[in-house]
Amino acid sequence: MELVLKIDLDRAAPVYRQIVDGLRALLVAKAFKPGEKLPTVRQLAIDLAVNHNTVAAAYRLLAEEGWLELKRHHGAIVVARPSPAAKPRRQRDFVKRLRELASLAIAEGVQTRDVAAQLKALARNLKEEQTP
Amino acid sequence: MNLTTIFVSTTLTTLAMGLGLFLFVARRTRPEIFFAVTVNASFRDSAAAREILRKFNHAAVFWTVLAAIVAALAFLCAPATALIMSCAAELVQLAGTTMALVQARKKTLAHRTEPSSEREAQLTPNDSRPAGGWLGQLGPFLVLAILALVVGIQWPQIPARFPIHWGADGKPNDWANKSWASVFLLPIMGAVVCGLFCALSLSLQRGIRRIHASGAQRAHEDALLRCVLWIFLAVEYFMAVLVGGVAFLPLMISTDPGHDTFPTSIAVILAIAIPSLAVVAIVIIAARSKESGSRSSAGERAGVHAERKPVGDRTPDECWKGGGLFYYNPNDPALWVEKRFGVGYTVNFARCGAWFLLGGVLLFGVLSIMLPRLLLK
Repeated sequence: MELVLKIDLDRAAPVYRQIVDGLRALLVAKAFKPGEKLPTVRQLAIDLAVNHNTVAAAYRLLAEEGWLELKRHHGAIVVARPSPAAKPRRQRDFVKRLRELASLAIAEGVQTRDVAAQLKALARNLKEEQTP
Repeated sequence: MNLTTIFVSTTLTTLAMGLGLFLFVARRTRPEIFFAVTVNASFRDSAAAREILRKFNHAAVFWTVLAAIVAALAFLCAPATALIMSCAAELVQLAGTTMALVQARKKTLAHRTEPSSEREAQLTPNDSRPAGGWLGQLGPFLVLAILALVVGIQWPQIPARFPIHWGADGKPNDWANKSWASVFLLPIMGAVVCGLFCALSLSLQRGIRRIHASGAQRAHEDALLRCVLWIFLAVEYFMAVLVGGVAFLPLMISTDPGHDTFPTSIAVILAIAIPSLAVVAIVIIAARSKESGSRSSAGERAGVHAERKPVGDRTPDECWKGGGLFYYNPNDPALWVEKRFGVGYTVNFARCGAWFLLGGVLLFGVLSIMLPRLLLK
């Protein structure tokens, strides 16, 4: 599996947020084993041609979420992260964001049944990836 | 062979090589880069691109012929004047062709395309082992240390005064007195050169941007980088053996008048032939490694999606100065980026590291001229 992070400088989302979202998607999909190292802040900043601080901020955010352990001179190390039980407020936020996204897709012409099928397929894939 | 002949023949050879190099580098760019400007991949096959390239080629030939005439006139002059005219000929070619390069870039800017705003990075850590491993990197220093040790053991056999420079006639024209400095300065300077190359290799390996994160183009980029690192290591070993061998000269060269000649002509021919062969080898290796992906063939260019925004080399056009030869981008954390012409890499002059490297090389150049004068007299 090729582990590639892609960002788009023209997108409205800030670059650090795109890095966090891209890495989190890979971490949720268990693309990294606990103990594996991510590229150094310097290396990732060079490859993406963005400021070091942008990558450092993204790594810090993922560390706060419990995905990474940041060690001085050792870089970012992936850690085993137990799935926490989602709080009711979190669940409500998630449903709200999902509804907004689905509404946007339908407003832009995507068929309702296609949105539903995509969501089902996505849920099925995530469930398979989560199963050891 | 007199000095004038040596100056003129050397100049004519380098002018011919320079012309070949200029014509080669103008063609050898990424498919979406033309005269250091980001364009659509199909542009270079258009009539406008062919016209720009044709005019540049004509200008490069014109300035080289003019420079060759200046160099040929030096045949009629005394050695001192011939040397000045040879240097002037080189400058004529360099300045003239650089002007042509700037002109070609200006014309290409009219066809500029906005590059893709997408960026990608491989998330598996890069291979950070130096070429040949750490033991392989240590080798040149060991070679120098062993050769210096052997010379040290044979210290009593070294004459009190020995030649260190020879004229065109092969007769020595400069001598040094036996001392630690005169015998061991060269191996020490050799070690410094090897150290500089070692530092350069490490900085290149850790400070370079890969343009593609995956696929065949990424594999080509990695192959080229490995190739460059192995060339650096080969240069280190060559320097160690050469400098170590020269350190043996006080033991090998006779100091008796009449028997103290040195084959200067052979040394000059070797001095031209070995770097020339090295340049040819680098060009062949770079071409075989498909230099950073797709610089050469139309077949590979066809693989680039014309309908997508060009990827280019992920550096902004406006940050390339001097006709596209120098890169200056304070917003780019990379110290090394791929050159927009020809083979290999160049530094980002907005990074302090670039100036440290340049300063280190210049300082070494000055010290290598000054130190022997100060210590050997």
